[in-house]
Amino acid sequence: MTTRVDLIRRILKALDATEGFPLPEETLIDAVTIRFAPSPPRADVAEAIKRAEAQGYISGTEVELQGVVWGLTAKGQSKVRTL
Amino acid sequence: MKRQASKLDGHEAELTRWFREERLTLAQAVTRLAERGVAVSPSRLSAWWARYQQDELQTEAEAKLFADLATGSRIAREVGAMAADAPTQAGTLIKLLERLILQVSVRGETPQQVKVLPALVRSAIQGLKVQLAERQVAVDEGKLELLKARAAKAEEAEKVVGDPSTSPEEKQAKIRAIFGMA
Repeated sequence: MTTRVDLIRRILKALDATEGFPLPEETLIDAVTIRFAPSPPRADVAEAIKRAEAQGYISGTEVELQGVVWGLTAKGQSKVRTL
Repeated sequence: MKRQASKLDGHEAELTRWFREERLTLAQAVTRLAERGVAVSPSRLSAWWARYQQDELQTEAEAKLFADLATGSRIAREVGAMAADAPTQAGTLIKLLERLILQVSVRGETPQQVKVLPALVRSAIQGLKVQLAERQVAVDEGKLELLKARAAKAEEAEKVVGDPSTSPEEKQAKIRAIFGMA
C-alpha cells in the first residue's frame, strides 16, 4: 500500500519533473497511479493532492478545456529539494 | 520509499549479490548472515527481500516516469509556445495537443511522432498562415475590383450630369441605368 506521504512525495516530484509546466489533475493522477504496482486508488491520490494543496506545496488553477491544472508553489519547490 | 527499519538494512548490496549473482537460497543467505553476526529467520529474510525488490521496482518506475514527464512537458511547452503566434483557429487545437502529449508521456508511450510534433505543428501553422494570407489577398482584390467598378460608374455618371445636350429626365434615366436602379 502506498502511504499518503509517499503519494504526496510522488506528486511533488512529478510536478517538479515538468519544470513548471502545469499538469491537468487527471494527468497528475494518472502519473501517480498508472505505472505503479500496486496501483494506488485514484481517490487516495485525489485526496493526497488536496492535502498537498492544504499544506501549501501545490496550487491549482481552473483552465478552459483542461479543468484544474496543478503546479508547485515556492514552498513545494523547496520541499522537493529535500525529498 | 519509506520502509520500516530492519537489521538487514545496510546489507542490501551483499544480499542482492547473493540472490542475483550467486543464486543463494534463503537458508544459505541466513547462514551467511549469521556468520556476520546478523540473526534472522528465513521467513523474515524472505519478507524483507520481497519488500526490497518492490521498492526497487517503484524507484525504477518513478525514475522512468519523471524522465518521461520531463520529455513530455518539454514537447508540450514547445508546442504550446506556438499558440501565441498561431491563428485563432489553431489555438484550441494546440491546447488540446498539449494535454494529449502530457497524457501520452505519463503512460510511458511517447512515440517518435510525439517527438516530431513541434516541427509538424510549426509547419501546419505556417501553412495555415499562408492560406489565410492568400484568402485575405483574394478578399482585398475583390474589394479593389468593386471600388474600381464604382469609380467607373461614378465617372460615367459625372459625364451624363455634365452633358448639356441631355434633358434632366434623360439624365435621371441614364444615371439610374448606370447604377442598376429600376
